[in-house]
Amino acid sequence: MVVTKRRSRQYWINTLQGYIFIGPVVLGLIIWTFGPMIASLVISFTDYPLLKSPTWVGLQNYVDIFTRNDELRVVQSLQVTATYAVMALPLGIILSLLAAILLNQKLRGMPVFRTAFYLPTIVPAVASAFMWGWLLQPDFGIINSLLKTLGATNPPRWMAEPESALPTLVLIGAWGIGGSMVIFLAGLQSIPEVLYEAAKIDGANDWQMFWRITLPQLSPTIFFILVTGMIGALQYFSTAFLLTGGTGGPLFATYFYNLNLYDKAFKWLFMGLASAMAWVLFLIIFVLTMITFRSSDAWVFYEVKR
Amino acid sequence: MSAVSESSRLRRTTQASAQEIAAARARRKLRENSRKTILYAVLILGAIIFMCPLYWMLITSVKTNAEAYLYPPTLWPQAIKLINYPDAWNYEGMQFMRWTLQTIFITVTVMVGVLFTSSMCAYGFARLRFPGRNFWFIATLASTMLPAQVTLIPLYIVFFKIGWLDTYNPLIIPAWFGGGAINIFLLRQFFMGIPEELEDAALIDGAGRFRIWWSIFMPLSIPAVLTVAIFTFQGVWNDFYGPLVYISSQDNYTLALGINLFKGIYGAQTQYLMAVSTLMTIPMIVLFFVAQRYFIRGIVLTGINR
Repeated sequence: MVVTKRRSRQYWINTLQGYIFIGPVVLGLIIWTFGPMIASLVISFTDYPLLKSPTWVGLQNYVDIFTRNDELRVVQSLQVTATYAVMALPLGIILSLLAAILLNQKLRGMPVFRTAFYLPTIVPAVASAFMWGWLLQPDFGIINSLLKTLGATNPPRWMAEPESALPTLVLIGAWGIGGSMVIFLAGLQSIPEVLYEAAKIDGANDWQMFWRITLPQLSPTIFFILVTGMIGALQYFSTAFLLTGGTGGPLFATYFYNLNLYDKAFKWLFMGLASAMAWVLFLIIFVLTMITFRSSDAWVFYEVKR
Repeated sequence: MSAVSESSRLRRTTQASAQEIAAARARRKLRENSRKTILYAVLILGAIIFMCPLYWMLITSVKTNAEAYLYPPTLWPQAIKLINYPDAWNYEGMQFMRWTLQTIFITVTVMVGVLFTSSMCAYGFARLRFPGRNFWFIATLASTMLPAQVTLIPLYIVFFKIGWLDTYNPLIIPAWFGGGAINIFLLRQFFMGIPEELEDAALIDGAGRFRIWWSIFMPLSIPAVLTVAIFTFQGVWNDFYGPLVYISSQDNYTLALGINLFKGIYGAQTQYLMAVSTLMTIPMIVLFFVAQRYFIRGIVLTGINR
């Protein structure tokens, strides 16, 4: 015999109350996330020039993405994005970790230095892009002027040459390491001092302590910054758009995936193709995140909870 | 063995080692001092590298156009032309006043929406017990993995159909639905730390859940609420992608779009471009110095606890 438990009046009142409180986010997830997600998947199987009605084309958009590189340049823009990520991620992690270690020393005046290292991250993208464009102006810019003073006869032409444009964006990105630096700093400060004291008694030097204590203890932080940095790098957009006037130039050297997607959606109005591109990006992010999570067992050290 | 010889031997060794200790202490002090000198040198160099671009933006903004393009560049302006600021602000064909007011309007309405709904949802997740709570909480957190581009195109199509393009609705209204997973998470963490006795006492006194949320939890969580407010302000003020996609007519531009337009048309007026870029940066810098604690805490909280 099945016993059906009658829920009390209070149970239903509590449930109703709970859903009133989290109502905004429940509705938000349905209206702004899950609904559009399904719609986007459906649209990605159609040919949908915004002003006409969509027609079903099956997997054609996905095939086009990977085969019609001469016109659509999707594979090319994927390569640009991947190259950027491969350069920017390790550089960003190493630099922000070094900066954090430097700023974690017990010296007078440290708050001033911390502020100086952090301040660039609050500068609006528009301002920082145009500021850097001016600093790196090949003919009148201060940086090339300094390089010439130091004896460089042929300084790089930065954003003006296809070969140097992408590394230039990596460099500009390195200016904004303050965010991950602060996270590393918090990570460093949460390492128990006892570990270092014990190591010192055992005769360990600074170098050994860095490799045997600091790095393993920081590995969860490194993991977090790696995952968020990867997701961020794959969605890179603003600085490249602003500095190239949206073209991703010169010669498509900085034609990032999201620049391409923006063009396809809002200039060409290829809504089907752009949706397919968005799903490809999502899948890439998802797979890479999963791989990173899987690999984390091997290198991320978690304290056993007591 | 007599006690006398014992104590004299002890005295001799103490004297000898006292000298050694003094020498070792001097060596250590020297090493410590040189370590400090090197650290300060690196810190100062780093701070200069991070601050110089901003200095250059500021300096260029008060030069004449001729001096801005002078080669080699002048490190300090020949004459400080503060008039550049009003000149840039009132540049013909530009509407910086209007764009600034519009940006403020969007920022404030988004901020109110985010604070109101994210704290409400956070209270629901932190303190109410009802079926489905964990499912929706995990769904909220999982939604941060999704690249914005996946939902962008269907939303754009819907906004197009209902006539919301080139209005602020697409920028403001979604913020009123929970205000972002990270904000909900941050506030929920904070709310969970508030003692339950306070709540029980209020319930016994006959206060409703809304009353408890608004009159007890909100005032007690001012640090967390300010953190959310600051990050929202920063995000909306600096946002370029959202307005770029949804706003098309110049009358409706935000400051970020306006500066990009100025660069597109009058890019050669570098001193004015730097002046408006500086003007857009100043509110962020002021905000940073007023609320530095919350800034750093916010990054640490969003970074570590995820």
